[in-house]
Amino acid sequence: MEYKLIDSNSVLEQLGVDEIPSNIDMFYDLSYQLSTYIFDYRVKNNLTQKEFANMLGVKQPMVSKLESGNYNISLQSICDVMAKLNTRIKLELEPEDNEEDVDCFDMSRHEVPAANIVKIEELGVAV
Amino acid sequence: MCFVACVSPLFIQSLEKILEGSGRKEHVIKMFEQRLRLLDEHKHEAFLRPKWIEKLRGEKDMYSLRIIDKDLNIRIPFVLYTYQKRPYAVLLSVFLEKNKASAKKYSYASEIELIRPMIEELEEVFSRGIQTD
Repeated sequence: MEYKLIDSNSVLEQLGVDEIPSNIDMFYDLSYQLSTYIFDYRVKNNLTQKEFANMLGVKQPMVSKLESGNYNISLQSICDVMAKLNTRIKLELEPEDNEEDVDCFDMSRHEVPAANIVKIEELGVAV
Repeated sequence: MCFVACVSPLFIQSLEKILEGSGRKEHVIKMFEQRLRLLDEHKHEAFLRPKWIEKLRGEKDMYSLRIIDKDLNIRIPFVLYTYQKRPYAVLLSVFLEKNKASAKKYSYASEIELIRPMIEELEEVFSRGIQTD
């Protein structure tokens, strides 16, 4: 067999990642950032999920969900968690280029912003 | 993402088949992308996150991506190679664990037997040079 290696971006393109609706696309991108930030924070501070849960004032299964990368956490809950981590989330909103995705507004009459990026800033207080 | 590569076309065909039958294609693709991103951004530190990436017991330099979504339990075994001083994670195959209980027992035996010839060939391919896009 002749092997050919292709990079992961090519794999994702062939699977159709560019055709995924933007609401699903955004959810998983934001979930990745949040879950990875929370996971890295816990590991860097050498905490078990249970210890981290105690610090956050939640149960251990909640930490597991937060780290899962597909947990639909409420805005208030994530603000509660980030406040405990002395971390501020900044939401940056910008219109997407593809106007065809926006079907509930008349683009000629409205300028429609779309949520896209969350920036997480650690405020510098260690556990 | 340059750290992660896969064997084409076998891998893509197998994954597409699972995605089409999943009923959750878009979600699973994004979860797959999350794990690739973690590997690419965190390199060897990505293995600290066992819910997403696990080391296979008894197999040298062999790992597996884990994607668990509702009733789906997808595993993507991969190996690490160093080629021209750069590390590569090469995704080898994709399969469905029958259930969570069997996954906990690391029931990779039959899958590893299937991909072992590929691993041996890849080692030879890496030693003499590879074709990449």
